[in-house]
Amino acid sequence: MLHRLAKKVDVVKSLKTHYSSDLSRSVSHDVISDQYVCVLVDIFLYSFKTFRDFKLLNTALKICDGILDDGRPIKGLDDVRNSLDLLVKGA
Amino acid sequence: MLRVIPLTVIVYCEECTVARFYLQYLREAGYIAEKVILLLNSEKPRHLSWAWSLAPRLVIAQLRRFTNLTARAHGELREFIDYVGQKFEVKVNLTKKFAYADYCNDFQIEMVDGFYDEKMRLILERQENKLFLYTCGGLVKKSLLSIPDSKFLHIHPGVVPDVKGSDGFWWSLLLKGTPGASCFYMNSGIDTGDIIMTREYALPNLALKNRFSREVIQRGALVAIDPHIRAMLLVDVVKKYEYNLGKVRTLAQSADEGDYYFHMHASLKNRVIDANWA
Repeated sequence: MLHRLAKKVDVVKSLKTHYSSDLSRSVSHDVISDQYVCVLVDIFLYSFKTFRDFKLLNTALKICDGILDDGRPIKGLDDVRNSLDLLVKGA
Repeated sequence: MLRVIPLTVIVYCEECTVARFYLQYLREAGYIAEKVILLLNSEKPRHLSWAWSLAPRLVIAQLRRFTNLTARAHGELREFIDYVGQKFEVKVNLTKKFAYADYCNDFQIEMVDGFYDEKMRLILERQENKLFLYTCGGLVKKSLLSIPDSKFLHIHPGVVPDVKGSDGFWWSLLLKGTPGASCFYMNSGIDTGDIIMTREYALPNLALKNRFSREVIQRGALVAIDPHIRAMLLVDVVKKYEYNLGKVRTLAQSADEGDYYFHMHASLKNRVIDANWA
């Protein structure tokens, strides 16, 4: 599930509010709120810390760089960005 | 005496680094390709396309080559290429015009409007030997893969199925600590073709971190380091199978095996640089 969401970020560069049950297609045009983006980044970081999943760390870094929706500003990512930098250096 | 291997090498753009490495490595191992097809990209640049429509196609292709070669022939990237080049036994010309005709028995030049030009199928269909060595990036269109009696050999920078997708060189170094490559017959999936050989190779000691900027290392690694690994595998494959390259007993991959990776973020590449090239 997390890897499929990461693929949406990396390939589609957008996350919608609703998807089909297997996440193969979006069923909504609305993008997820800033709050949910931050939660997802937190989950990606937790997965990295727990499972050393570099792929999810990579996607989290790209979200912080503004890959989603042509770089729409996302509130609340600043704190995450700092811990991401530390994580990458110490990884 | 050089031996002619039954391969038609597809070179997209004269400045293609990977093709240069493949051909140089083959030659130093005592082989030349049966044929090289050089595809010059005469696609109009997207900006000011109306103005470019006045320029002859050959001029556009030559300008593109000149721009790309010039970027490698000067400045820090050139220093990087020269430094890394000293560390490997096989020396490859990456900064000047390349004499493709010296690396094959038969040489053909064609002009195309980008790699997805419909003309590509016609060009490849007409080849006598349809065992192609694909040297470009990206996906091959199904219309090309379905050319009757054709096979496309590809060397992917990463050991499949563990490392499929983009930036295989960087992901291999991050996840396994050593670069690897895979040779397979391409199919319509991304790096899912039937495997001919996979291998990992040790890199020479490269003290890059204090010599070059991170931007140049990130850019230069794909120009001057990664193609060595892929070319080494190509030579190993050719030495093993020689004239039977088109009918190797392969190992099929299952689609859900292994993992796909996307472009690596610069911060993770920097981590690889710190860990490997201090």
